[in-house]
Amino acid sequence: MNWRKRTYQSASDETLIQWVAQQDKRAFDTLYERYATPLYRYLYRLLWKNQALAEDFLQDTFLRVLQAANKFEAGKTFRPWLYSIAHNLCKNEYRRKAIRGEAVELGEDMTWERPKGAATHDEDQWRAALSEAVNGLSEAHKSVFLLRYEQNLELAEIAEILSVPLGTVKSRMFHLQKRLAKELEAFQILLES
Amino acid sequence: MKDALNPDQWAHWEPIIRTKSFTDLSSVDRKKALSDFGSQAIYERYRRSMKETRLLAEEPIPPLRSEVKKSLDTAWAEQTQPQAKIWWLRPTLPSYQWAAACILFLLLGWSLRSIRPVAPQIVYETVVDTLYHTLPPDTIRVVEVERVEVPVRIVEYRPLADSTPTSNTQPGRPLSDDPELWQWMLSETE
Repeated sequence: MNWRKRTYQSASDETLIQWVAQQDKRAFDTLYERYATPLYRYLYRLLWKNQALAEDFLQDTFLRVLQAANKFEAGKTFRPWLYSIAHNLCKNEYRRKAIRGEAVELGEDMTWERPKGAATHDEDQWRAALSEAVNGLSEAHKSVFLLRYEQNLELAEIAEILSVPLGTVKSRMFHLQKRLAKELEAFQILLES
Repeated sequence: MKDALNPDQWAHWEPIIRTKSFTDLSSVDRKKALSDFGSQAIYERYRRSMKETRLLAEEPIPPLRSEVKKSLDTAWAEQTQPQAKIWWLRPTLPSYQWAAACILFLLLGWSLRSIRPVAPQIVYETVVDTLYHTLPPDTIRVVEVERVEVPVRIVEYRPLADSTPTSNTQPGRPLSDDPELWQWMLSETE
């Protein structure tokens, strides 16, 4: 097989994964270069900002890509496939934590605690509190938040990754944003007062 | 904030609100925005919250360590290298193990050479024993074959009669070597 003529940088993700199935190491490296950092970011945020856990899961995700490369169906897009592998790994971790009672997840009726008193006017502190609140979101909401705003994925792609209907993604995103807007509204009132 | 905004409307406005302020919208979109959001202020509030959301999403994170890639490279090597079915033929076997195996083989040969004559059975049993005790289980099967008894014809010489008066009656002595016996036999025939 003549691999010298292959142009890796310009090849699509789908072509690269087919080459990976033919045991082309450079194709695998190219995919890693493209997706390691964004996927790591996603895992890091989804896994309670735990660096070691995020790196372990990143490694596991790429290992599964390597093992399942020949099962990748032609005509499908690579990115949702990759993220769905990572997401399923995280989902299992959330389940494990829930069983052990370690995770504190906030559901639909979560309340975000703004810093009180003088600290309320400190924008950085408020943002830090908001960041913590995002960190404490349920896996379902956090995934939508990160995939949409950090990874810039399309709603249809997010639906495919999370294996939920498109309407569910829209609904989750809407409620999340509405809550943020409300929080911001209250914050603006406090700032302006 | 207008509560009438539904998820579908939000999904429609979300990509627009990211990039355009209310004043940047076309006249048609402005009308629609006023209808969906209720007022320009609410549209702008959503836009600010969107900016905050994006800022949250872009929080700096610790850099990815190179160990991850290294371990993936190792996994790749393990996964893609052709695996020989017999473990001691694997090319992954370290060279020092190959060297040790060769030395052992030579020593075995040398020790067998010193035993003369080497019966085929001994060679066979030595080789089988060595393989049996060095190879991992399930890679060798020793089939025990019943020993085949080869009938051996033992030819025993006995004198014709014990009472024969001969000076040399030692059993086992070849007939042709006994001149007295020959003499006696000749006298009998006369």
